[in-house]
Amino acid sequence: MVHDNHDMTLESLDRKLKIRFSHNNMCEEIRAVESTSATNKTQEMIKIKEDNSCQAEKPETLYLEKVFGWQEKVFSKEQKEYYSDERNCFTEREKEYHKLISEDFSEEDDYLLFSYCTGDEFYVDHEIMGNTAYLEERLNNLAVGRSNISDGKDAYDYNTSVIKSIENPLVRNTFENMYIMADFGQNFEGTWLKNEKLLCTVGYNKQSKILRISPDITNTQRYVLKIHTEKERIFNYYIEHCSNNVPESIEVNEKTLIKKINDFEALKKEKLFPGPFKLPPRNKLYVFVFMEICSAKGFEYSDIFVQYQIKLPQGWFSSDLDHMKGRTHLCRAADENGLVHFGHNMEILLEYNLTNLGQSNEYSQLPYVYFEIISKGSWNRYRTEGLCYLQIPIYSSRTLTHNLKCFRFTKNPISEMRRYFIGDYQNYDDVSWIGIPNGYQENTINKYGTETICTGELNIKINVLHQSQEFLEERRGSIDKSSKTMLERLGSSALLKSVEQVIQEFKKARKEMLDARKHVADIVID
Amino acid sequence: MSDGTFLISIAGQIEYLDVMSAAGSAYHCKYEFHAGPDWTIVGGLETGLSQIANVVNNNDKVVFNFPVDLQFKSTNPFGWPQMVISVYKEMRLEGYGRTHMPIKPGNHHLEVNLARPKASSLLGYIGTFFGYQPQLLQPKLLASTAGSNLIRMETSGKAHMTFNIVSQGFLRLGYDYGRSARE
Repeated sequence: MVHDNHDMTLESLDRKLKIRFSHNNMCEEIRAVESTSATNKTQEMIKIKEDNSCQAEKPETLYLEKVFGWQEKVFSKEQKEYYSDERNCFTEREKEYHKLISEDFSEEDDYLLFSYCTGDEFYVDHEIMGNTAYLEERLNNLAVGRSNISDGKDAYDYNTSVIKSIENPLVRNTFENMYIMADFGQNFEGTWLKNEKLLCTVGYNKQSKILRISPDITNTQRYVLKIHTEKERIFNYYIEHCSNNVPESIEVNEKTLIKKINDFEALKKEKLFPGPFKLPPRNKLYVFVFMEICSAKGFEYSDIFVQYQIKLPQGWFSSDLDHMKGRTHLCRAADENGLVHFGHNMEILLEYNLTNLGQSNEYSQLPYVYFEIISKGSWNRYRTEGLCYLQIPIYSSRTLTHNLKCFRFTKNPISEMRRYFIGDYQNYDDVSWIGIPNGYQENTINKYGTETICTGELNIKINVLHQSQEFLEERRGSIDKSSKTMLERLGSSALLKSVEQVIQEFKKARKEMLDARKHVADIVID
Repeated sequence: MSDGTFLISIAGQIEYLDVMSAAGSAYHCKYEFHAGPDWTIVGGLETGLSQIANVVNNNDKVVFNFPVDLQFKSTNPFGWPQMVISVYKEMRLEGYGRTHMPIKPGNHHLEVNLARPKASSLLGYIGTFFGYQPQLLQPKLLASTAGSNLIRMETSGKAHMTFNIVSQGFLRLGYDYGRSARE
């Protein structure tokens, strides 16, 4: 019998609702008209005209049309009787009802349709909740930054804003409800036995400014209500919306306002992003490396800092050379394990020329980062506590955590004494010796003879991100993304690129040749 | 390369050893690679001998951070490269370990178990009480199965290494690494 809930927002103004209520075939019609005024208080009016007809024997058509205003209290027969007795009225509200009833001298006999407003003690079953209280209150008071957290892409649009308000998961929408009811009761031995059925629920939420009408407004499909009394009666009813239309001036105002909002957003966006998105140049691969030196532990002395250096092999460039070297702060260990926290972040952009991919050896030369852990003792004695290195895993975009074990150089007791008294900071030429020494060309590596001591460990985290025009959607074409490794995808285009480049070089050379020829011709003529 | 060859680049380091080290002992290691007949070494370090690492506390990890960097070219996955590592404690053999290089490109952390041969004769057995430790003339032997049924070994610890594997041209030949090839 009921439709799904249909929510309608009331950002502006007059809306009217008609409820047509009919018995059997188009018999009773109740037209309900709701209208809301431009002020904050919304009002609905329902007009009911009732017509009664019964199919079988006596055709009595019961047809009712009523206009209901928002929170307009219409009394049922039972309510009239109850409130007219002064002894029954205790609260303010009830007293007011009593006054209303006593003042109302119209002898309208159509008690069928009435309403319950907010404050009357009427609850629909499913609304009775148990534990609400604390959290709900807090949530409701959340000045829900009804941040038009627009995804930033769309211009402000009325409809999407409405849907967002409705679907906002944060705010529990407590609605001020008004119930339009019909009473099918009968007189039984002098007392009126009520048989109230709920026709329509109208709810309004102040925070999100949503007016909810359930069941939905309908013109064509009727709602059927079955009443089980001695004879079964079937009622059809319609809910019609017939409010005054939004006056034109206000609508125009609204439109200009929306346009202003959109313009402002566009201006803001333009300030933030002054140009189109900058892509890396054609045949380059950009690798963003974000590295964090997290902590270190197990070193001999307790006041330590870390110094790092990035060494790039051939084919790799970086425009910000400042970030290739760095140093963390000095930190003192707190416990016996010598755990020291750094939390030192650095980021660097490395560029790789993709044309080098064609040659076999180039890509295998990956950038290295070398770490030196140094301690500062009393009297400015700096000692090397540990050395380690890592090959930056730039071949794929990912995050890696490493626990690098460190060692340091030692030789004999004399060198240890030197270390203790003077400090042996940087007692080596080139830190890259600990990995593959710079420019090492032979095919065996021999470090035998150098004595080292194992010291503590260093914990770092590396994030790598790739960017290249090769990965753009339109260039990928039909290449299946998952089946190829990044280098393979880059490599296949590198081949094409080198061909392209050769052609371009050829064109350039040809042009130069033609120019030269022309120049010579000119000279000869002269 | 469309002539059926693919390139595998192996780069990494032998990080540390987990053997029951005694304070004051000194370890060094060496590694070598062994690959099938279709594999050729394009460049890099084929073999290496590390520096000497001294141990300060009992049961400390023996840290080498010894670099490995090698590029192979092949037409056939048969004979995928293996690394044989020999660990020495002063002049005495501590253990041999062998492992295949990882196949999937990416960052891998390997734990290679070490084992050392036991004496095969009675005289040798008596010699162990006096410090005799048999060694293999050619550790590369361990990369194949030749003679495995004749060698008796005993466990002696672990070597931890990390490798970064990069391949080129492999997938184009129709091979499949498995689910997440793009790591």
